[in-house]
Amino acid sequence: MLNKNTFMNAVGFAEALAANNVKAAALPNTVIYELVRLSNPEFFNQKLDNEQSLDLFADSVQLATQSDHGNLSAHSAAIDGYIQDISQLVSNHISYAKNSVVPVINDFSEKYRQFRESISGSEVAKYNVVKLCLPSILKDESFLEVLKPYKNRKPLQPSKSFFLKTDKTDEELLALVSIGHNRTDKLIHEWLGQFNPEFLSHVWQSFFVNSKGAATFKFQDIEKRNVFERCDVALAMFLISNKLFNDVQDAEGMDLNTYKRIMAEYRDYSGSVLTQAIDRIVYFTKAKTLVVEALTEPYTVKVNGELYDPWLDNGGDSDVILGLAVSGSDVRNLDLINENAQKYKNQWNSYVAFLSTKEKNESVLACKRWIEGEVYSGLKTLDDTEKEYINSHPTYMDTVKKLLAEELDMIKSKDLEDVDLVSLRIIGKVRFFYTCAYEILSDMLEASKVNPDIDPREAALFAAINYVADYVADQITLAA
Amino acid sequence: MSVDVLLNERKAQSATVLANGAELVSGIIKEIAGNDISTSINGNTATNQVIQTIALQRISKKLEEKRKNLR
Repeated sequence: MLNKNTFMNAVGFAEALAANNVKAAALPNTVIYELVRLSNPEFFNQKLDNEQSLDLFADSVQLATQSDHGNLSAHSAAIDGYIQDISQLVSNHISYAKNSVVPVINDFSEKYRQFRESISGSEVAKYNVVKLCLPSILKDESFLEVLKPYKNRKPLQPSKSFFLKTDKTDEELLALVSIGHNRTDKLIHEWLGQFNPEFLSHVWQSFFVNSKGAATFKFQDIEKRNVFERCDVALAMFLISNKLFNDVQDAEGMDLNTYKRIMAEYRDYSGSVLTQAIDRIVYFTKAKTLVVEALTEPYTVKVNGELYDPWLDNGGDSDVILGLAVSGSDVRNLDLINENAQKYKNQWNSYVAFLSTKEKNESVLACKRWIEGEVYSGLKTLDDTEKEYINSHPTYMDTVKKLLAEELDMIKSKDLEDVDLVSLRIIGKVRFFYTCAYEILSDMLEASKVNPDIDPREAALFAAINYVADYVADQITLAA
Repeated sequence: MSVDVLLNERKAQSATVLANGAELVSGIIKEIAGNDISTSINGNTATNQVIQTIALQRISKKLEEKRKNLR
């Protein structure tokens, strides 16, 4: 039965159509067409010339469709039958979407999320400015006194390498570089704190032990390092050799005299390298050399910390240094850098913009390639219903291929960021194109976006109402 | 035929179509609501009238799309 309330509720929506000079009409041979036919009041002959007449028409519709003393009206019998048939179909669609399609979407979205994370790192993050400073221990007057004998001495590489048999723990290595003076040792420990824990071990393995593996440091490489890093290796070598000169270790193929001579050579060499490097740093700072070294792979610009911090305090910007690096300029001097600061900064901004566009384009292509591969890979694992459908529809793969190409073409760069929506579109509209899963699940997703706290069953209610309403709307046309 | 009569006839015909659609939707939803589908909205029972209003909004939206496509 169409009761008066239902009719009058619909009048409100009918008015909007009438205002546009159109009316709703049921398409022939449809469920709605049949229900409309059965709800027309046969004996209504009043002119519909005012609001009251519309009210009377509603009464007549109710009268025409209501059951009478236990006799089911034709309208009620028809609508009850349709409800039984259609509700079973809708239940099946919802059940299949929930139990078969959703797990495939969830699996796809999890993999897609992981894939996006794997490509999310930007090249820009690989560009770094690293500040190098002269450690406090090398500014300490009493320690500099220890180094005085090595000043202005040309570093001579030791004539022989040590092959000490003793392996050292981290604690033992720390004891080797400590000199037993509290204040100085505190400065030494502070200096060591900036390295990873393996630093001392690498120095030990590289210069003092017959290391089987590839050495981290080599004599011939020490002077190729920038002055700050040269200081670090030389200081570690100096502290160890200075201690081991007196604390004699068991060395392979060496008598005591040879041991003492070689250890002195180590100490003298590292002491000379150290004093030379300190002098060079002092000179760099006086000459205002801000950039110490610029490396590609990883893209790192190493700067003189003695100048960098005051420069930042006076309005300097790390983007200027990065711009200098990407411009390929050899300029290292602070004054020259300041002269062209804006130019370098612009170069960095342009580079970041270029990189960002390039990465965005590459990311879009990578995502689309991944999606394509994953869809085909997913088709290797099908449930029984899918197998049955594919076996009875030989053109399934051709359709999937066509729909996938269309969908990928329609997905914009911004869309790709929405993992849930992409997964739903690809799995729902492509792999399960022959079901109503996309329509049902997209409405549920929409409801959960409007209200993130919504109960999934409530979202399913909205989706079901919309789904059946769409089925009804498909049976209605507009007429003048 | 006067403008008022034409307008009201249009309204009556549209309302008959839309009301049948809304009645069918609410009947189907009442039938399938239960396990996977909630029977309430915001803690209140989803009455026929509430379901029909949501359905009518959706049908009207679809018809509006059709009307725009006709132009």
